[in-house]
Amino acid sequence: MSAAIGFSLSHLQAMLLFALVISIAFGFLSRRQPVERVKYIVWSLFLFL
Amino acid sequence: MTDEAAAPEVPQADSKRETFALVIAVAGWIVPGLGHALLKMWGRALACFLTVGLLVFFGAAMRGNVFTSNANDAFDTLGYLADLGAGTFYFVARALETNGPDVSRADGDYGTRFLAAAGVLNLLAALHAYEAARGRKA
Repeated sequence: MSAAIGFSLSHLQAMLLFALVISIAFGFLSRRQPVERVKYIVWSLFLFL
Repeated sequence: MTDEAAAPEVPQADSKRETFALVIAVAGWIVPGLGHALLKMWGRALACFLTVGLLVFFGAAMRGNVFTSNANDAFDTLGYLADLGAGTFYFVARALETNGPDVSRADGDYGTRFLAAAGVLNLLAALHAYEAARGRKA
């Protein structure tokens, strides 16, 4: 596998991807219960956007 | 009057726990998620591995700049330190970027940020695993 596959993302796509991935990581690291995690992920994503 | 000569002894158990926590932190830094996996926090381990892995993959695929130790200035050094935070995934990023970085396009610039974020996120996860191993509420 190589980077030759090449990704070309728009600013919006890159921002959405970044915000989603980081929000998921924050949610899992900072909350224990699944429901709390989902709430935190959604809230964090909202704040990022 | 207090007896200053009688310094409080550090219990042996605390010393062992501190060493264990350091091992967990280093493991978590070297392989994203391994620190949490050793603590049997499977969800967090998987989340760390996948999120750091995704950021590294997309960052490299977008031809972001993977900084090396040959830094030209302080910002390059900071970038190198941030990239190194991803542990072994730093070398994965270098291996993925067969064509080298291309920061002349916006994609390459975004990729550089993705790679740095992956490193810093992994350091945060390793710190979290360290605190959890020390018995702090996590």
